Amino acid sequence: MLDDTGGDDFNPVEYYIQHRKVEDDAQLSEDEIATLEGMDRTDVDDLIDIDWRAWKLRRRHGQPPSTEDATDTADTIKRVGAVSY
Amino acid sequence: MHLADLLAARSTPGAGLFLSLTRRCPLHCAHCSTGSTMRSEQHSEQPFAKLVDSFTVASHPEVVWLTGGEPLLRATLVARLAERARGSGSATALLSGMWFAERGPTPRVARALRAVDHISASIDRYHEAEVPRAAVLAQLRVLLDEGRDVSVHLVVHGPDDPYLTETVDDVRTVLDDRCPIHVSVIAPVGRGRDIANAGLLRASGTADPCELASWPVVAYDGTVIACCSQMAVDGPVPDHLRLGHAAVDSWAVIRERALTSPMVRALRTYGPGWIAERHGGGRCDGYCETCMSLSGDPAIATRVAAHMARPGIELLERHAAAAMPAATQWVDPPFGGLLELGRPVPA
Repeated sequence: MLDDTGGDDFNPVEYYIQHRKVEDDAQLSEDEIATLEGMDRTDVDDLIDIDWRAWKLRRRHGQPPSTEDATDTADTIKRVGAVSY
Repeated sequence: MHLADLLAARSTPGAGLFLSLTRRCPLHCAHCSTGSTMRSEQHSEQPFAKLVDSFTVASHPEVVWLTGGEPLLRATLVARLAERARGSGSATALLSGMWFAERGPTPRVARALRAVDHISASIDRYHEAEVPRAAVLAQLRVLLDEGRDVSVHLVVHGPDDPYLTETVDDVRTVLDDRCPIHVSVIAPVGRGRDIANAGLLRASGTADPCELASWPVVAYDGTVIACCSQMAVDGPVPDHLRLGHAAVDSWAVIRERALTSPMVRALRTYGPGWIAERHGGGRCDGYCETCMSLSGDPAIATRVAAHMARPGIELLERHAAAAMPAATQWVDPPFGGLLELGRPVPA
């Protein structure tokens, strides 16, 4: 059985697919799979967090926002730029 | 150039360049994020001109965004920069408080307005206390009738601000839905610190890519900075965000540094909270405050450089790039459609 916990037999591709928070199917090219296979668990966790951030952005702009997203919008602004653009 | 087309390039590192031509402004808006007055700092024109003169047909930003303060206080410089930039293939946009709206532009301001490719006018309740909205809209109508690309930069206290609905309706009616509207929230920086309702984003220890480290900014004194955070522009500029100086570095050099600096790449990929958590530096509450703190320990940059040189990082960078906003995602979802107003329908 594949180890997706970060142990000696850690399988980054399995781990990535099983732990993604994104509500769609992982679309990975062969090159991406090859790169993932060389990653440790910390890197894969970071990748999962980055994908989650992208998913939240797309969901906010494509679907009715969740309660969590609405809180994000009301309580914070993204960043404070010298200009807003 | 339509606002939506300008914003389409906003997430691409090195696709654009901000020039902060002056911090001075004749208006006194209560929410001003740059805290501008007519006594604010203004430096030599030379660094701005030198950097734009270094553009070539082969190496230039797609968009040069002129800002301030009030950039049209340096109208002759605006015209010169826009004409030089166009010669290399760059489009130029300008954000103005339109202080001249009631009397009409002087010949020098009129020439500057003709030279740029996009004119964005600030409209909000604080600008209205200084310049009547009707006068600004009348000027924009003249420009639209001349076939010019314009937009309104509308800042409000939040999505439920009654001023928002009333003003959007007015702009759309007076300008016949020909003018895109960029809606944003008043920020708690500069003079806005005392009146803004919104809080600042907090830094998280998990990967949270920075959206602002994409287009370099030339600050008022010519220092070139990797991001447009007002904190960085106000200075002192932390070493990891300093890309050079407009008086001595060419666009090709600045762009190369913006694309390859390990710290800037790490900010675009992971954000400052992650860097502080993983590589030291101590995390502050604020997202940008945390970034400002990262230059306190030079060893952080060394550790980040080693991290960003590891195999596989390119995959994380590519996914982080996909987490950046598309054109209409730079504003909150209800207002994305307002960015598209007046956009020509493709044939």
